Amino acid sequence: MSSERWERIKEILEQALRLEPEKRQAYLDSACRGDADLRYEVESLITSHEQAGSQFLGAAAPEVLQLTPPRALTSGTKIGRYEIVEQLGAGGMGEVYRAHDKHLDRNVAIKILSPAFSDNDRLHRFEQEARSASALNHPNIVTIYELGRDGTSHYIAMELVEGKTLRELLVSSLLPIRKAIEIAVQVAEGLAKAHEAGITHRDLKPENLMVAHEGLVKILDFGLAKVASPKGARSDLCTTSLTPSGLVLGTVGYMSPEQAGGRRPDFRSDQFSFGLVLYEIVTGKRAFRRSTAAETMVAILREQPEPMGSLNPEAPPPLCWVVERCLAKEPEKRYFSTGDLARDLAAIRDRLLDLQQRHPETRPSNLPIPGSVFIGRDKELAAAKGLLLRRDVRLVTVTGPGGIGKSRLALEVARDMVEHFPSGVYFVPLAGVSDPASIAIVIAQFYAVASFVIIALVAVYYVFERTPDAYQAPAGDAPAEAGGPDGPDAS
Amino acid sequence: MTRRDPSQVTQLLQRWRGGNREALDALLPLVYDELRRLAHRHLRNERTEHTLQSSALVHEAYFRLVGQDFPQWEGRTHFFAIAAQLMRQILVDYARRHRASKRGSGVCMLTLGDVEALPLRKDLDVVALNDALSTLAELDPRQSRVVELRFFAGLSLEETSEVMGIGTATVQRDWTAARAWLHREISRRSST
Repeated sequence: MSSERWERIKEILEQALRLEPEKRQAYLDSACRGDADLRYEVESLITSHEQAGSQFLGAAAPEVLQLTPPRALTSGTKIGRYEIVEQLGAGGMGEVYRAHDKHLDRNVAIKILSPAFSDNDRLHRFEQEARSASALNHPNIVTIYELGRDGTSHYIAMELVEGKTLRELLVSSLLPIRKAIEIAVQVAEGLAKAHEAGITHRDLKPENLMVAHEGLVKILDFGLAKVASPKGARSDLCTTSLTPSGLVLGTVGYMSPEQAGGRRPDFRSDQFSFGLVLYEIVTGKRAFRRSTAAETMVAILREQPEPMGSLNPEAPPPLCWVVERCLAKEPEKRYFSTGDLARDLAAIRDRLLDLQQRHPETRPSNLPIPGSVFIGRDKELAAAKGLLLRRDVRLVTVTGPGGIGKSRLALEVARDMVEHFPSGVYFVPLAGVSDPASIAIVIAQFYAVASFVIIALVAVYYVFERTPDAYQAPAGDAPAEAGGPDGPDAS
Repeated sequence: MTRRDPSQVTQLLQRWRGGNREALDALLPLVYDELRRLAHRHLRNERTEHTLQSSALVHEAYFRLVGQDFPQWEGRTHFFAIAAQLMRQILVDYARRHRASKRGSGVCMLTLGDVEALPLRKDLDVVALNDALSTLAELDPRQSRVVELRFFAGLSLEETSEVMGIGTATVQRDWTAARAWLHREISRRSST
């Protein structure tokens, strides 16, 4: 069909659809003027338009993709002595649910193995691994309660950890160096315990580390990577997923050179992966991230990562040395025992705490001392803090009617931000500013005088309240708690 | 945490706008990577909300890759034009993998942390849509681009019109005809 003809069909179709159905025939008679093919084509399209209704392509593509796996168990389903409450997540090996143990009246997490892993050989190895992992009793390792079977479903019941994975934490905010070290110490202690018992993890990565709300870190999925690989395959390569375009989506980024090279990994392979995780939580960057899995593997085998200290000047040199040692290409140059690694890290943490106690932090700040105790409003506080810690947020504005405590909230948020922004946190009063154009100048003056980066928890609302005209200014359009690209630099 | 240097993407966008075809080749994997990463992040984190907003995804990718470096609308139009194509590729890949896993063809689905396959609602076969759309592109390339932008990137009528530099009336006409044409094409293919 020629494109002119197709354009003509589109026009006639559009006109016809605008008409009441009973008037269409007459319109088509005149528009197609004896061209039977043309008329047939348009009529056929009108029919499919009506069949399609508003549903077809009515929502954009991803909205029609439903994200609940089809086999998801509904709340109330019984598996063994557990009652499913809700789904927590899904991975290649199966789904994880929050469930309730009726006998012991406690909540647990249940991982139900997908049928793909339920062949006899895999199950046997799975049981072996899970049994040895369940013997591990350490606060930094998720406790396995039971391996069970209900009909054809095999499951593991384990300790329920209320918190976020380290990956989730890394995506949403920057970790202060003290918190990064605290997490590292706990992971190292959990690993040391497992290694002492002769168990290696093989798939250590931020997705497998849970940080509970109270700060306790738990390692998940000990030894399961080994089980996940099909029989006879080069076991550790199979825990990665390579897309057709070769993008790195899986664990290839946290492999050790032994794993990348197809050699047999031992506990020192976990030390390497741990070094990569530590490098990432301290610098915010993956040490060997490349655009394809193959390049990443080559980098792991041959290249040296950018020095940590140059990416985060706050990283204490001894910490950089620990990471360098973990990232040695040859296993024999890493730690002889993971216990030593944990002790090194604990010493770094204690030294840092000691320094801070002796020299309490004198970070630049002009924040006024609040005259009253701040009570409640935890949600707003958490939301504002969360936004400020995101890398892509430059400006957070708080708006609302006068007198509801916006300044007090801003001050409270700012006080909590001091530890995250080493260059300082400043309160810039804008109450006296009546011309929106001068906001930037006032902030810039602070910036120039102090030459610090300013977190402007700006009291822009004063401007709105006092001069209605200013509300027309672009800055005034920011919705409450919105982050925007055009604010003053706040990171 | 893996945010790219925004100026890299900005420069590539500028060079591409200036007619440099190689810049586009360099740009595609960067944008693909970011969209894909964001999609995965959404899949992992949004357990309670069972839908993923594609327009939100594309806008977030734009912000992360380009940020405030490139305030002009032109930069956004070029970016969205690419993002729409890539979203199509990503979603069709998901759908294909889902098909494959349903047939139990033994694909390597072993990542512990990733959601590998997305179930699709029965009433829309993304793979069939993709095939039909490729046929439509031979007949009318502009129309197939409208579908990419509206359906795969989730752009509004107005955004689509700006990205393509054509009037909203034309976009609307193309969109209406494309829906009818695609629906007919998919029904014909599935009945044979």
